[in-house]
Amino acid sequence: MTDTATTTPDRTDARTAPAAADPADVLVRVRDLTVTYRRDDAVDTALDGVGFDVRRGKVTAVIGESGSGKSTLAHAVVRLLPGNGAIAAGAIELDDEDLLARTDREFRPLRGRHIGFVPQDPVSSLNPTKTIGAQVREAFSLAGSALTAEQVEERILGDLRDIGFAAPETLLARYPHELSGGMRQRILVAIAFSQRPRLVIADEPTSALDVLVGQEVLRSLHDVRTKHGTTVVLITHDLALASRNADDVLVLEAGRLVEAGPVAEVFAAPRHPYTRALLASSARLREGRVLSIAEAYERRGPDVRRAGSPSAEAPAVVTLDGVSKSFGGGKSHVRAVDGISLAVAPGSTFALVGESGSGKTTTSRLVLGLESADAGSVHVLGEDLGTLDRKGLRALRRRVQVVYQSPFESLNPRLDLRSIIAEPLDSFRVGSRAERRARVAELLDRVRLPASYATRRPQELSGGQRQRVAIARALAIRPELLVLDEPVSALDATIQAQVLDLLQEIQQELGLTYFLVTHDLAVVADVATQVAVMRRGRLVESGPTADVVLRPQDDYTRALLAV
Amino acid sequence: MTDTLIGAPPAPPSGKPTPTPGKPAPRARRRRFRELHVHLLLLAALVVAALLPELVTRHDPFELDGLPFVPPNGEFWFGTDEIGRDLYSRVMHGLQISFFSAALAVLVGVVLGSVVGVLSGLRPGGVLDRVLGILTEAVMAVPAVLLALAAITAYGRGAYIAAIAIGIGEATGFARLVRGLVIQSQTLVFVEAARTCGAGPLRVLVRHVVPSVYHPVLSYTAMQFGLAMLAIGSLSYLGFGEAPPSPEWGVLIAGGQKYLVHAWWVAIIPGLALTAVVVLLNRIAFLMQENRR
Repeated sequence: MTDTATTTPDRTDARTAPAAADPADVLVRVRDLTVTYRRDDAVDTALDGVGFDVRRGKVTAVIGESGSGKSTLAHAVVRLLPGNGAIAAGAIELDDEDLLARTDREFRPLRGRHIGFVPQDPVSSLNPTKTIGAQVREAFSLAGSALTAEQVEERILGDLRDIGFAAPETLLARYPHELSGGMRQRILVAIAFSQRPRLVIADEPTSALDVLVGQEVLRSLHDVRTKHGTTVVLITHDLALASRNADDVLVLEAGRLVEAGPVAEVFAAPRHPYTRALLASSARLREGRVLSIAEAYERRGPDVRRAGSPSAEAPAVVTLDGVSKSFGGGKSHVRAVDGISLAVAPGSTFALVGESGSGKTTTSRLVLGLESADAGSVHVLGEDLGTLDRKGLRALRRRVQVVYQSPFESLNPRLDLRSIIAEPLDSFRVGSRAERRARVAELLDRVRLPASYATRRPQELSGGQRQRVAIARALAIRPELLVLDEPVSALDATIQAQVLDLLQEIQQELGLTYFLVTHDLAVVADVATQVAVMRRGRLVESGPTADVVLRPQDDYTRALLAV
Repeated sequence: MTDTLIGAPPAPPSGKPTPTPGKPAPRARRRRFRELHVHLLLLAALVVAALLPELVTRHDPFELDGLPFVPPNGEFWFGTDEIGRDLYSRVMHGLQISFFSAALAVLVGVVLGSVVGVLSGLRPGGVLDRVLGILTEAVMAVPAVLLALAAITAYGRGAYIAAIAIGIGEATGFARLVRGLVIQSQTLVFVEAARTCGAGPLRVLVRHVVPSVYHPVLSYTAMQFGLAMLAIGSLSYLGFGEAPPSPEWGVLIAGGQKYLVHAWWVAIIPGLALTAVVVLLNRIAFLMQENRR
């Protein structure tokens, strides 16, 4: 595995267009880079003989799914690999200087001054005990900046204005927790650019943020980059983002560079099967260009998958009538859900869309009976949750099941899949032991997992497989309503499509009603029959998917659709 | 080559976190695992010796088998005491008392503490939680030794009575720990998932909560075990636990200290024995915690 020589021929078919560029235009040159991680006696090869050029003044996107090694690549360049990671072979050059020849000590001055880094998570990347001003100034003192204190201050204020803060003076005295995630991430961008580095590496800079906020951050990143002519390496799993923001793209698959070239060319005519598969998984990338959500929706036309039309005459499965829910008292009082009403027709997929903090998750918890409403009424499958006692609620749980966002957290790591899937059956004492076993086998088959998996534990499975297990568990007692809480947002794009397809198939087969909670309108357009858009606890718009996606009435919906 | 960087944090091959973050390097982990096993074997040997001290001794702990103050030798491994009793035999029989009274104390602590902890942790901030919280604090405010003294005054001398009192004192720590773990476990998504699957509270507790949180309790138990041995020894030393001629270690140390100058072994050897056992238990506690990571 670690023998790079044998793997080299595989890469000859990879496109190396940027490499063909004028050598003077190349800022970063990486050759045959192999990075390994030690674990349990074995050595994992995270990057296997990767070679590429980063063009000066351009944005190079590194795309790939989780585990493809794209973050490892970023960390190898700035030499911030974790303790058990090591560069086993290869060369990294910055402006023709061999970076690997530097000792760790000699490397340190490069960080910040010549190579800036924008981390993924703005929440944990700023020190909560120091003011913003102190942390931005620290970037100057750490880099040994020759500027005087006044010049530094002037520069900071100018930078912050460039990045979109109208009144940076007041900002400097504030602490990170007083700022939103988007503001924090923009501060981190400002810090990364503060020393005017030659190269800035941004590792998934927006994936911890809401879509609209993430867009703003990217816009500011683009502005400062253009202003200073900085070269940027953008690590992302989001193809649409890469397509819009990058000049060149590197496609990584399981530690190998499978394709590289100008983004427009690669996306328009992918050569490697993996790139093709990756592009195909994104319904919004066609012929190398990003479709709007509405375009993508229209292209699919009257979708056969949404043909399982709901019977509008039948009584609604879920009815919310003027429901409100608040948390906390006094100063920390939050109205999570503020007087919303909605109805979900049987056999339909109702999608509740909103960003974080919109109250969509609280609404789903109200439907599940995990929270009780302060005002208004919640009816689920004809039962009034407000008047239901514990016994009634338990009886209702036989008919309503849930699939959680993260299959990494929703499955007990100590149990095998059989016990996990049989949990509802065991809880309600459905059938004999043998019947439960048979049902588990049937369910595994239904979600297309081999029967032999029954004795495995969740840790042995991939994210997509785990989510299938969660779906199998939810189906075990044949519920009528399934609450899907961001069912695919923790999964890779190619896996997302598979899981969504599976959910659709199951719905058609079993006539289930789905209550889908998501932040991603693209997912909604794929599967929902009805859409409600939620913002700050209120419904801003709702209606059939076609109406909402193609003819949005509300500005906020329009903004979400424009992403 | 892989010998370096033991204990270094691991890394997933990608930027995404692995399901088990923060595991020490495998080699170090295996070594600790082995070490824990060795320690547990030692503990098992101690338990056997405590159960059947006759198996590992030749002399009766109460018979005057030798001359007074014979230094340690082949016949009397730990020497003899002021009236000629075999000190090794006394230490081994004393182990029985020390060990089982401490075990009783810890048992009381774990059971009482877990019950209180689970009850208050299931509904944090509820009436029950508040009442139990105040009770716990009240008991915590009373020094454990004072509690033990009160119990001994009321029910008579003896290591086991002292142990129960010490156990009640220790229960407060367990209650706090368990309460915290239970509250924490409620936020685990799979615990909520089990609930939405229709699992009843008892089922959720037994099947999902306890298996996820018992490890810290186990480790804390080992540590408290050592502390209980020390507390019981101290009480006996002060004359409130066991009384002579009992070979309880506190009694041995108290009896031997008068002769410290010309017969050091009579006090020092039981003291070292106590130290060794407590260190062993603390080490087990530490290793359990480390292996958990």
